[in-house]
Amino acid sequence: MPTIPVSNSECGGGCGGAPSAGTRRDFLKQGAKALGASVATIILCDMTDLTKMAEASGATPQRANLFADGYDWTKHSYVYLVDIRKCIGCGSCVRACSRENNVPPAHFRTWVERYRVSRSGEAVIDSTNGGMDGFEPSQTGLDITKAFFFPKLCCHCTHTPCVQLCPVCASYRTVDGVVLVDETRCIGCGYCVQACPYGSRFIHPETHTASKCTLCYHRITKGMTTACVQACPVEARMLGDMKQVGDKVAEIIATQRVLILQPELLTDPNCYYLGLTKEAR
Amino acid sequence: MEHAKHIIRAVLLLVIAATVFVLARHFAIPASFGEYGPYRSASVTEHAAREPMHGEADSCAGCHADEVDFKAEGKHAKLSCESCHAQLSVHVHNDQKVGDMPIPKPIEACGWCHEKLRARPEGFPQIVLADHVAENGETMTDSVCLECHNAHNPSE
Repeated sequence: MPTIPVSNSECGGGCGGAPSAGTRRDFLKQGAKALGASVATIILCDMTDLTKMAEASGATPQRANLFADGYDWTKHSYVYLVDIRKCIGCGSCVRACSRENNVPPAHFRTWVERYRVSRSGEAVIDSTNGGMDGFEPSQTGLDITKAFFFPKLCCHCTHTPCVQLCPVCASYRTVDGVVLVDETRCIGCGYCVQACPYGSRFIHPETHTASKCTLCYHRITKGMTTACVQACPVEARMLGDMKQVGDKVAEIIATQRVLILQPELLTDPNCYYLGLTKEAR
Repeated sequence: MEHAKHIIRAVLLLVIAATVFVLARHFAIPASFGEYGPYRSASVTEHAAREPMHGEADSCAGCHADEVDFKAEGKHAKLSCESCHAQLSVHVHNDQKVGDMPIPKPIEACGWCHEKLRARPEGFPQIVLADHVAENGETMTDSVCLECHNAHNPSE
């Protein structure tokens, strides 16, 4: 019967003779030290982060250098104003938004609805392709006594239902008052799409993440206005900043009879409407 | 100290549990999360870093000052060039021309604003396109509007 050679490693460092004595023990010791050190580093780093977070939860604004280009988001608070009485329903805003933000076909970050209301209060509401191709004259079969266009977009609510229920903290509201989606975190569950009472969110058909109006955050942080506001030929849409002295929109909000959509929901929207009527909802 | 080893075991377990928690937390939470609130603040700068597609109100005047001035004199003064044409990015990038600016079909683009609709505000100039073309003895084509109007300054 042939003998099977037994390697030293099989019986560990204890029985293998002088060269390998204590090898495993040393290895384990070194390993434990390295592991301990890395864990300690991680814990220390996290402790520093936690301290930062504790500071951040205080009233004082935190690191001012979040934006490399010198934009200071603590100095802005954006509001939006739509004057329904001025809107001509041309759809320029919808086309501009779509091109600016590469919005997928048949999805809209802003859109225009047409309301045609009869004396008895019956309303015909349409928004073919979000109003992107304008509106066609059409028959309603009703005796129309009131008609208007109703542009819509994300209201950038102060108390946002969509942010509150996001299970992965992908939706948030910035310090300057814009509700955004972190597409790298969004899992596309669609809760926010259901939660938004204004219908302003959708699931992007390609990325499968929630998508919505960003108030052209890439433009407003560079001192530009939003694509939709710039495109509007009749100034039915205006972007304002409550923290700017002498802001035109802030002045209108302060002096005129502006309304918000669905105030009963207590979402505290930052999109204000002039000329809103009871049928518009 | 008869039962010391029980205490040591319990403490050891606690230390292991705490370590596992801290490690799990470290690897589960993305960088920059929680700096300003329960979100990844790098996402804010990612949004802000996107390149604008539409130019600013005066972007076109850099090369087309004559057209811009001509438009500014007329009733289309408040109409953005990009509203009828397209976003600046298809035409210019880094001050270099990258493509032609599209020109829309006048009958379509004029109609977006001026086709008569009940919902448009009264006082805004509107016409029934077909009737207007017929009344002026023209035949309906894509560019029939340009027979009488200049799109950049329509009263001309």
